[in-house]
Amino acid sequence: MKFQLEDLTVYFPYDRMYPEQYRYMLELKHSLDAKGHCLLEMPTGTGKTVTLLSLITSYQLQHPEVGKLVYCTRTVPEMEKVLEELQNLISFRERELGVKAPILALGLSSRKNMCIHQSVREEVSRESVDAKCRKLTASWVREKAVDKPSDYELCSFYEQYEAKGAEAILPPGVYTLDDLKVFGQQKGWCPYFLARHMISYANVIVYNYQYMLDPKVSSLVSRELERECVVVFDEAHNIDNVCIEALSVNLRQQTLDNATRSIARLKNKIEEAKATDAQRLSDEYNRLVRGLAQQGAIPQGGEEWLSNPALPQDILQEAVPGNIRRAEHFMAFLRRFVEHLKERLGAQQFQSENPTSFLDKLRNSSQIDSKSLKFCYDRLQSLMKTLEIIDTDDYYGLQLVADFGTLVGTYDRGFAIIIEPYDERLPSVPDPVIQLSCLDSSLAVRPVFDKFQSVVITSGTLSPIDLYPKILNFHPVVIQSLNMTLVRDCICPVILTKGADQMPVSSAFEMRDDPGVVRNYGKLLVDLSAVVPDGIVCFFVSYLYMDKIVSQWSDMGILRDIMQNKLVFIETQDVVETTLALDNYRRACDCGRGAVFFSVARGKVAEGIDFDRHYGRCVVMFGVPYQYTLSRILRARLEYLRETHGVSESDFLAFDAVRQAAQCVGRVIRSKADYGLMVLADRRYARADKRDKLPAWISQRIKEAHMHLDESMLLAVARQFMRSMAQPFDGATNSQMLLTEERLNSMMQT
Amino acid sequence: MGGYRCVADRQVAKGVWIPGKVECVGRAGLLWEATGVEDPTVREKVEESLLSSKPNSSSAEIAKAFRLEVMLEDIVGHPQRSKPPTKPLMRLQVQPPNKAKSSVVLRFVTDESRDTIIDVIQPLLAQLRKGSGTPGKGGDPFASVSGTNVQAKRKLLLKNEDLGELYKQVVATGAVTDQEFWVTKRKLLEKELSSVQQTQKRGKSSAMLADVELTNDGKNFVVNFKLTDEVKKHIFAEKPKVYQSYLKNVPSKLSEKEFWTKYCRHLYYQKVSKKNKKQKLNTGGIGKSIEEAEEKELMKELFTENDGERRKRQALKEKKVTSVDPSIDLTTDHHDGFSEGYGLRHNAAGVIGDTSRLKTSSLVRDLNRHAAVVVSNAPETVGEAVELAGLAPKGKREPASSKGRDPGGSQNVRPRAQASILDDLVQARTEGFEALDVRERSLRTEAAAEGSRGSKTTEREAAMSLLRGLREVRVKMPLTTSEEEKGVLEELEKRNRLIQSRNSMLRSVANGDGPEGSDQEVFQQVRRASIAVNELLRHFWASFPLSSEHRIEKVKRINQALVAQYEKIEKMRSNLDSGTTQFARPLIGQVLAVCDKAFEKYDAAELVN
Repeated sequence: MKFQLEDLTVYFPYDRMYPEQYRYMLELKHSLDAKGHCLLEMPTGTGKTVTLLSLITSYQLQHPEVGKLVYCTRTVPEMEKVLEELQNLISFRERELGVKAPILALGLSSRKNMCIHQSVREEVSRESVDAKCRKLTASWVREKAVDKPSDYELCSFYEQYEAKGAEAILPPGVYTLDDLKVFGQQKGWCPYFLARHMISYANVIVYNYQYMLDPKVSSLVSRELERECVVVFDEAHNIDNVCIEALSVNLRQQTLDNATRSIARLKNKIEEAKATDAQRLSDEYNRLVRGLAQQGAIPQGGEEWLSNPALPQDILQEAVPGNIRRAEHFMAFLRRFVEHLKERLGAQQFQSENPTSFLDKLRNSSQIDSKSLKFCYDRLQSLMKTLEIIDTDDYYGLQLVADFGTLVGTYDRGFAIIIEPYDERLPSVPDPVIQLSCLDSSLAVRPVFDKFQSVVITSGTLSPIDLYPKILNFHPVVIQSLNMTLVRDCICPVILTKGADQMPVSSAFEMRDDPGVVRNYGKLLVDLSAVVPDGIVCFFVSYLYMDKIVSQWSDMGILRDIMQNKLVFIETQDVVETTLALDNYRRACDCGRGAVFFSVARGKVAEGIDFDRHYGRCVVMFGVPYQYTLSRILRARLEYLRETHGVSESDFLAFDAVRQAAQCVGRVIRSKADYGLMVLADRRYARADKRDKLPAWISQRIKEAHMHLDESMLLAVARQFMRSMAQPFDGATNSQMLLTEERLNSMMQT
Repeated sequence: MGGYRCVADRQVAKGVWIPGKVECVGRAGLLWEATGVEDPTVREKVEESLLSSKPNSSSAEIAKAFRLEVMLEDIVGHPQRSKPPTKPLMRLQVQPPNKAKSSVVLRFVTDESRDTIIDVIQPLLAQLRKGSGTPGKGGDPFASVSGTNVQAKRKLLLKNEDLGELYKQVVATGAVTDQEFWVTKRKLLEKELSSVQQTQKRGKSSAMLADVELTNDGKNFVVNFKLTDEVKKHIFAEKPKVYQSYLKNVPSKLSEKEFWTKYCRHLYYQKVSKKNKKQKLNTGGIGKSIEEAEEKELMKELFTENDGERRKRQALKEKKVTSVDPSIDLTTDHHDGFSEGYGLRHNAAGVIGDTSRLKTSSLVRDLNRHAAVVVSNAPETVGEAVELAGLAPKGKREPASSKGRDPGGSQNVRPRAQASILDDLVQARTEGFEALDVRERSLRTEAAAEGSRGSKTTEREAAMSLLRGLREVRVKMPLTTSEEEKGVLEELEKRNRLIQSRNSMLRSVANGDGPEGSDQEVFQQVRRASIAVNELLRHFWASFPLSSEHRIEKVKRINQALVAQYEKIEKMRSNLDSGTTQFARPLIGQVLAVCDKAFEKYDAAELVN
């Protein structure tokens, strides 16, 4: 339908709309009008994505001065879904308007997901795909290939794309990753570089958070976006964690070993270059003497790299210090640095310090100053391009070390260096690591808020909503948490506090090993699997906990009992296996056999996969998904939060745990015709300090009687709920609550 | 009277089974008869065992043991089935009037035969109990349905009223045999079967069959393995490596039994070693442990995958992933995240980095694999195993690895991500769809009649206008005379009237509200008769040329039936009262005319013979 929202004509691809969608649009429009940022919470299952897309594209249409819509998603599957919805919307708009308003929308991902070159795309990891691509497309390789075509292999797709030059253009339309690949295949053009190029022409860009937040990637991909763009972070409840990851580096033993090997190899290359082509090195030296660090290398073609790990405004615009200008001096500098890091990594106990004290120790032991360290990244990149190195994935260790150095040299606040001989959650597995951990989530997101005039942060679970402006340090013009209108209680959140034997259930540390709790949880699932039709999703607080429970369930025969009712699928760290398990899970639900999916809060599945309709009729959250509270990184961050933002530790921990839980249980509902039972199985959820952190649309629907259930009561509730919800959906009552085109337009007139 | 028949043993006393066969005799119920008891020695043996278990049974009772009739009315409750690991059994609770309740237990050879019998009985039982489906006609009109797929045929006849009627007329009267009837209705039957089989296919059991139960009596582990064919098949599907070594080693190096013994020992070791690790047990001396270790190594080679095979399987999996719905494909996401080394490693806000070292990692893999096999419910995994083993016939393997394929080819089969559609926001679309209406059939006839009438008028109009046109040019060139015109118009008029009357009659028949109450009966009769005659004629004409004895016989039979029908219709025609004659006559006339044609042909054929 098409309606007037204040002075804006909005194209919405459905005949009717939810009242909360209308309010959402209104809030969003106000923030766009005010050219400010906004923070919006709207329950899952109310069509957030389509509302956002519909309003912003309509706004773009009417206000051509507004720039692109940059839609950041958390995962690639979400990206695909957004593009599909956009496709729906655009085809509706075209029906309404004709083709008067063509739109170009595209998704962008890594080379690994976009490459169509036969041998390159078959490389296993993303890094090796990148390296192999560079090998075929680097400018010096292509130059040499002109002289000796037989000696150098080139990528035909890249060549054809380059040959077309400015004519290589995508016609308007909505392109998912697969669409881009198909298009590239037809034209014989490289879809990755085409998409990168087309970003500057596109009206809508959909990509992963890190293409916006991670300075290493964003200064390559998103640098040229104009200030007038509207940036949307969807499913942004975890945005602070992404921000932190974007500025963090970790160095492991194998990384440092690789770095040492790389240094040796580079030394040889330098010797070689000196013997054959000394001019090149001295040219580079002269460039570095004369100008800025970034000009040491001449940017060109397909050899581009990840860029500087520091934020753009923090990069020093100066010439490289004298002591690392010469290639061999720089090598010696790096060698000393790596040796020092190796020594630190060998420590047997945990260490946690701030960058200043780390630099102190570094200076004392290896005479490396922070100023030179700051230029580490630029100097290395310049050198590698000068030496025309293409197998970059072999040098990943050295790159990491250089990034680490640059970050340590640049920031003295908001970071911590934490050295751990093993992961405290897995003390039996040695895994020494030096981690440079960013503690301040506002650092990485700062440039985004500064650069773009409207940034929209939205999710189904942003409660408590006033915490986000604090931890991200920004001032939104609109903060709003919207509720959900329902004709029937299609979500049923319940809190289970006691098991079948009336003993309390909890994943709290002191009760974790109690076999009684494990058995109670098992019994609950067995009984639920007999009552709930189709799919059940279970979330555990961590892999370790899931491991413990699954092995005990296997011994107790509980798994066998579950399998009498439903099939069991389990998430693992192996993405291929998990993807297939998900696919099979869906098939089991489709064919009516029903299945249970075991998953982990904070895992991949919890973040990006929907269990809508029959794929999830019930979700069980076993325990409260707290972070591992003894983690040094977490401790350091909590301290920082308390000092700078005044957020108390326990508040933050509870907030973080509950948002994960809410995220998990919210997976089951994706529209109002959908329904799902949400079981929060831990006695701690009954406490007010947890409950009030749940998003309002969940906490308000927990009935008084459902706050302290034991197992048998829960089963009665489940039976009743499933029976009443399985009745045909009453479209008539529902439509009374919906807004139609006439109602919307008449609302506008009054 | 034929019905579904299959081999089934009957339990007459605990542990005493008499071989026999069971037959479903429609509404009459079930009939079970012992087989092979004609041989007196066999009979004696059975009687003996019967007597030993029930010492004081009379000879009449023993005689009864060899034949059993179960009346449908006597069955209490529903037939019960045994669960898969045991043999396919069926138990019926029977309570004849004024007698005590007893149970009949039958043992079948396969699950399928048992299920078919139950599938036949159950709807009959339901119908009987509902009471509505049995107008006192004295027995089942479709009792003569026989051959394969009795159930489907029966269902079809019940569902399709016309067909049921037809069946009664042509088969029950003996004009056409049951088999002949179904030959012509094969298409309908196939359709019915395809819809039936979709719902009736038995899936795989969800239980992890390959798992072994251990019991510990304090001294020894007692291990019981029960391997049925189904379990073996399941193991093959789940563990391609086992299948692979089975193909390689059986029967050339190992016998079937040796192979499975080895496999079971392998499972046992796995289980025990897990337990031992837990209890920190160390059993046996050094010599024994070396021997054991040797054996374990050997088994490992046989039953666990080596690195190469694992890699191969991983590659296969990765290939499979490319055809998964993009909205659940986590691999693409994996390739879009932070690269190794960036981000945090021991991050409490994330999950631990490596799950392969967890205790349950292999159990988890097995569970996922098991569930995948159960869901796929197809032998494709066996195919995968064959492919892994490199045993696939070359011709078959070629297309998968053909190099000429375009690189994006595999992407084309990938489905699109499903956009989440908020279906309650979409108004129910009405145009382009027909509202579901229970009176559909009669309406359609009416609409068709309406349409045909319309088209006739236009035909008439066209003729008129043509004539008008012709009349105008007549001056110059007289093409038609006015008499001829009149003739044509009259002819048209007559045809129109005829068609109209037929249509209105058909409509009223279909609507079930004829002009008057008594006429309705007549119309129904005419309709039935004409359907029956049509069916007979179809068989009649299909039997020419009379190339075989069978056909000649059939033609004779059908001719007789036709004659009977003809006479019936003739009688009907003479009985028509004046009111209905004008509607019914044209129809009857047509029917009789086609019959006449058939008789002519028959007479001609007789002459030749």
